[in-house]
Amino acid sequence: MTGSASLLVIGVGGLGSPVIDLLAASGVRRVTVVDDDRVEESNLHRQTAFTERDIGREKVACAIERLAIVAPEIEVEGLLTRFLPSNALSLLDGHSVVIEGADNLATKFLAADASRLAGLPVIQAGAVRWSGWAMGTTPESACLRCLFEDIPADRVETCAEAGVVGPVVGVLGGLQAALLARIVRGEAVGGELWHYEALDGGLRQTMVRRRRDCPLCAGEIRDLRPDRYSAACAA
Amino acid sequence: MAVTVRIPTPLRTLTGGQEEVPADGGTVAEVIENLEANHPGMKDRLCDDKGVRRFVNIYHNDEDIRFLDNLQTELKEGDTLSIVPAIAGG
Repeated sequence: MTGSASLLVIGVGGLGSPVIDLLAASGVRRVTVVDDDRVEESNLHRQTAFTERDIGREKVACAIERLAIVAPEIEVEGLLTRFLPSNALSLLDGHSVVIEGADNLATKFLAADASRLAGLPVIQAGAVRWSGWAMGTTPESACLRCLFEDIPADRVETCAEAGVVGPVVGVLGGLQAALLARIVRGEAVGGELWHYEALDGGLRQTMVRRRRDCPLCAGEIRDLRPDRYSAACAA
Repeated sequence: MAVTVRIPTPLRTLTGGQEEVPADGGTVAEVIENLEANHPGMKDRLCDDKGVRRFVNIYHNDEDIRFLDNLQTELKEGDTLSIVPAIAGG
């Protein structure tokens, strides 16, 4: 299926890898992949877009090659950069939907804010150890700030600190790809939140509603002021 | 009131690895106090001096307690509370 959607993928790690692998026949015509990282041996157990021969290579270059194999009908561009407050809106320009698979909450909030300001749907996820979440949002729906109100200063483990199990990001990245396909088909997925706990086999869906005091939904966030994203943003 | 609390992976160090724990309380606040008594450290992970931490969600069955009565949400026998913390990795 040749589609018309133009997708921006923020981060090709554990979440972005299965997204890349599942784009064939998704209704996406063009993909831009943003990541400034290189493949490390410790990535390989969960970042399925890469193999041992890719160690040391730029992830975006590997992602382009991977897409040429699994979805040759899709135009692809790779950008070796981070997704930052200074470039977020220009990176979103020209796209119709966003998938965020970053490894830190600062970038997740930035992606949520930037996508809302640009009027784009964004599909986000996070994982650590044996569990995680995936959520679809549209400009009219609840957003990440309705779910988690702000960037915690501490206490949040990342996969770099606590590790993440390969199948967990595989499931959640697959859910992101499914949400993408549904958005492309015109389904209303805004506010749909999936929780996944691998150890007890639990996959649950809940709906996130707009919080009345959400600063993003209330239109109080009108720019991407860097101090709002206090932790370092990585792709 | 006996309820079941679903514990997310990052907090299972406080429950000896248990995915679900029983707790008593007629409101969410009372359940959190009961959790703290049985699993010390839990309250601090869930709450600050203003209430539930901004990056933690607590669901009463499948409804976010922020859309109910927050910590004063009343519980029934057999209800389930799910703790959903912000998880950052990817």
